[in-house]
Amino acid sequence: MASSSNAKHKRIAEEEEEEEEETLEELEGFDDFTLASSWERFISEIEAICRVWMVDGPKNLVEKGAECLGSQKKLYKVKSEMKHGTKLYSIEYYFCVSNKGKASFWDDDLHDLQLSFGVSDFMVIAPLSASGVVLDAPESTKLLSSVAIALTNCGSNWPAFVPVHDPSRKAYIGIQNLGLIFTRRFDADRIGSHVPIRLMHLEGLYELFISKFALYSVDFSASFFKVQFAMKLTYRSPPYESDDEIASVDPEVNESKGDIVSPNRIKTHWDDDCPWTEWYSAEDPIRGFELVAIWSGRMFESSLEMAELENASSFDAGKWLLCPIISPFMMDDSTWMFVGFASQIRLLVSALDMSFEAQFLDDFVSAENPASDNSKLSTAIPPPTVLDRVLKEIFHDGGHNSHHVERDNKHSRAIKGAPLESLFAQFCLHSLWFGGCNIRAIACLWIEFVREVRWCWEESQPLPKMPSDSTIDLSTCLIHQKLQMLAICIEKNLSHDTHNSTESVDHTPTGKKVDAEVDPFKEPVKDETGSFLRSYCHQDSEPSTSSSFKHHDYSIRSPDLQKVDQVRKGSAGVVRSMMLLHSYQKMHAPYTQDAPIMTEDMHEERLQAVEVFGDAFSFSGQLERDILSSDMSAFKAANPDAVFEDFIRWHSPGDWENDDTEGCAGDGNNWPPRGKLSQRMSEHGNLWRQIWNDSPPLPVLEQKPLLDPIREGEKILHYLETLKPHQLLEQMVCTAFRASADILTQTIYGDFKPMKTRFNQLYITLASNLKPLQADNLPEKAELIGDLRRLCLVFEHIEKLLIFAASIHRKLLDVPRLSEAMFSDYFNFYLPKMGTSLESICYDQEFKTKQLVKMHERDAVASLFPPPTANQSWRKVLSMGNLLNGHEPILREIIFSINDRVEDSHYGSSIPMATTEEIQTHRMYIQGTSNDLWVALSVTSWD
Amino acid sequence: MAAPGGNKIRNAKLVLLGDVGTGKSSLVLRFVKGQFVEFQESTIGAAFFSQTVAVNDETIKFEIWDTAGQERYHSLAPMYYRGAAAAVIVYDMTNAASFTRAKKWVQELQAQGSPNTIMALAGNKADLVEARQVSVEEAQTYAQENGLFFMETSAKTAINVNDIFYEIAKRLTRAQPVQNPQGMALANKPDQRIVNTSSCCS
Repeated sequence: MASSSNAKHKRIAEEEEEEEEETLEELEGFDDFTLASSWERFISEIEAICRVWMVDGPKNLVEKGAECLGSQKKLYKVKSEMKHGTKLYSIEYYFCVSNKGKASFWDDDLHDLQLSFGVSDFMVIAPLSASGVVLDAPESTKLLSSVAIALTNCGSNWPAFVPVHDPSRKAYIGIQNLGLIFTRRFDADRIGSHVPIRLMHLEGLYELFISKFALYSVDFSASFFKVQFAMKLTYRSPPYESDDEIASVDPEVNESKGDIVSPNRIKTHWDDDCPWTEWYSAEDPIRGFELVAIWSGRMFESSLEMAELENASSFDAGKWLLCPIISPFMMDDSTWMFVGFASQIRLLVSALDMSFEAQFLDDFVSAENPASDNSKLSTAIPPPTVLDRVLKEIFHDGGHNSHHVERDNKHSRAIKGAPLESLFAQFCLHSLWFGGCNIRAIACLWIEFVREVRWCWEESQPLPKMPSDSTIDLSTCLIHQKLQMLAICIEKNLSHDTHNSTESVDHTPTGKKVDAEVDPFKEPVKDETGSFLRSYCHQDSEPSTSSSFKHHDYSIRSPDLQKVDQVRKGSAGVVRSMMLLHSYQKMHAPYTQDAPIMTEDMHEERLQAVEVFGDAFSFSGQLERDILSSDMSAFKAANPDAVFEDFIRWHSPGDWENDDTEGCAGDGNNWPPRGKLSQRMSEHGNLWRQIWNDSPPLPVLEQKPLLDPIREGEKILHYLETLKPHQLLEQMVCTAFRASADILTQTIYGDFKPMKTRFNQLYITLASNLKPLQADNLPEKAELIGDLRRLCLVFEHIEKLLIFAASIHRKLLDVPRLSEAMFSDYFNFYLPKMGTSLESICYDQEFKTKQLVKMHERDAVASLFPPPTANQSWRKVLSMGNLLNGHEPILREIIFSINDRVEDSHYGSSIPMATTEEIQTHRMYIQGTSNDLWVALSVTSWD
Repeated sequence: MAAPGGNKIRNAKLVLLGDVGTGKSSLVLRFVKGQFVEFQESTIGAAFFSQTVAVNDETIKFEIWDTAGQERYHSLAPMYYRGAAAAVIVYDMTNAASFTRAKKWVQELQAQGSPNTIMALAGNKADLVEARQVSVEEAQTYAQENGLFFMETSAKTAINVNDIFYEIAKRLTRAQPVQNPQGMALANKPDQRIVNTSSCCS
């Protein structure tokens, strides 16, 4: 060692030269005798590398790109290579950053060697061979000495390890200088099979540890050993999918037959009551749980105590930690393993991509189309039987869903699709799972779908799964609007037909109703509906035929009234407290036509026309003028003696100024009503008055309808039948996204906050990214498809997370705190994967974050480990103790250690540490099961 | 469609909503033609106007839809406010009922309209101070609570009429670049494309 110190000084002066410069020195002919032998050169090479690392310090090394190990980013590794003789060696330095204070020696993030030998920073030297293990004993010893010498030269006290034997044994030897006096030696080895029975039990292991220093020439007598003991037991809950056969058969069935639910499905799936099961069955993302029970910091004095501990219940352990075992499909998305809405929508996006190739959907179905022979698999159309069944499901099934309350989800409405339960949304969802969701299958389904819709139209059958209100929701996609309109047209046709056929018979009951309304003529009129009555022209409330009933009342008052009443047509009843100005009669509100309903393209057309004609007033209000005129005609018919002012009082009350002198707005007895038209209405040449003058008295039924249901219905069918493929697919993509999100959002998962936020974000993301699809001028196709694929990926992440959330929620139903904590652990672990790139990141890391189980939660957690059935328990011979509900730990880890008070008698004051400090003299780490034992021993000596 | 930078003209659909006789048409007429007619004829249905406003280096061309206040036309309103970049909800400050009606319009827009629509509340007929029924504070508070901006206007004296349209134009130019602050970003998305997609949705 003294000889090398010379070289050491020199090199310090040179400020850590690199290897290359050393070789340069040699070339220059400077013959450093300390580097005479190749072995010495090897040592100095190691030394040089170590110095660089030492000088850099952890911070710089991290900046220079040290490799990070473990999920908690505490441990880093730097690596170098060198040659000795014909062999290449790698030298690795592992170091910890930040918190020096070791929280626990059971830290999950510890490297194997840290855990086994109780070290923090360390070095490993290994030959660069296939196995990475030094095979012969002299080589390993030599290697270790080289490192030891090099490290001593540097004044470093890093422990160094060399792997020995064959890799399966995970055997190491190692050495560490502790100041000048102490040296720690490390040794580890493994028995892979046939573990002696004695070593299966705690008692035997304890004795093994004792024997390590009883051999030693220290004057302890065996009875005073105070051995520190810590133990960690890992249990694994039995797998949920214990019936492997069915689990492996099922997906195939689903694939080959579309979404047929195989009749012989005996097994209930974990997600049977989850909202997505109507469409697919998700693999359970949680395979099971690992429970870690830790006993720590106990002192033992005899092997008897150890034997007792082996019988202790795991409930006695100081600490319980729980960790879910995540199914690989959650992490590995590179192979498109996950089948769910996201995967199907991705196919739909591909279909959209293809859809630009043809002008008509029929082109995809016909065989001659060149687009169809790209590949046989992706263009298959399911057989007609499947087609029939799916159509039936779209049109007739789902009665069980009809009562489903449409949630008014604002986020969902922002996506321009069809509402979840509507006909078109069901069509989209079914096509996702129809065949391979390729363009040909979709085209085929669509053509049949439209055929079915036409049948409904021609047979006047109400369209199923359409909202019943007679307005059109303009926030939905155009196809849905068209279908809504068609449903209304069918309804109108139907009511028209029934009206014609029943008109003659229904006057009696309605007549009575009107009679009752008119009757209060003698009494004050009750406030019934509002300022005016507005009704719809339903067939059953048409009172025009009931004049004979009213006749009795009126005839008492005035003989004239009879005449008036007989010409009155289309009245919906009297307007409360309103008398006509020029005749002593109650004002009747007429039935009026529904304001014509329009889909957004009709609106668009209208608005565009107006914009083209500019400020031409006469055009812009045409529709409204028609309505006004219709209203006026109806009003005139219902009130034959009315004047323009009466109409204004009813239709636009704001334009009638009552005289203040008039008493309380009473029962209309102070006739005639006093007041005047607003200034603007009484101007000369007022347009309203002109229209009034031009409008003939006509009840609604005799008017030309504002909306021609037959013409509009035919137009809609024409639209559906000639829809361009890409227009269909665009709307399908939007609707599929929206409907899938709406289904998933019904999942019960305990409303974990990060999940909830993410899901809302998903809606916003969908809404904003699907917007380009509604624009008239589409962005560039490649761009659009790329964006949609990325959107699918985002969707897939959220879908997976949601399934995970649902799974963990139902498994840990009794311990919501725990499930939420575990979800957010997993969420944070998963987060870096999300929204990063189209190419998915494959994690090499496993999810290992454990959650501390609180005392009161232990019972619930233990119930994850149901006592094994007779069938299961027979398979295993239980040989380790500490059973949990009859389950043996899958892994037992033990650390024995013994401390000794160091005496400073040997080398006087040169000991670097305080003289009274206790140091760990022996430490043994044991890891294993009943047939696998790995032991690592570290011994500190001062010889 | 508007590209960022450069003096481009951007079209913006604007709709006026409010009760009968609150002065919607008068406001538009004042803004578009600088005229005021004491007794503006009651609008039948809707009327269309256009007017441009220059803000900084951009020009906003308002396509204004002036709707009728009568209840009868309510069901037609969605087609006018659908896809509108801005909505001006007008009430008559001498008429408390018209303020109530204005609130209903705000509610409806919040529920049915696009979330990006800029909403302005105009208390019209501000010249008739002695007949005031709706206080400034009340309207101001309501506007703040609902994220509207508020001005009292007078089509007769032209107070605040141009201002309210100018303010809308200013907000339109400001609002455009922000796409979806709360959503997730898609990966690998070149920046200029984000701008493209955002400008075709107005």
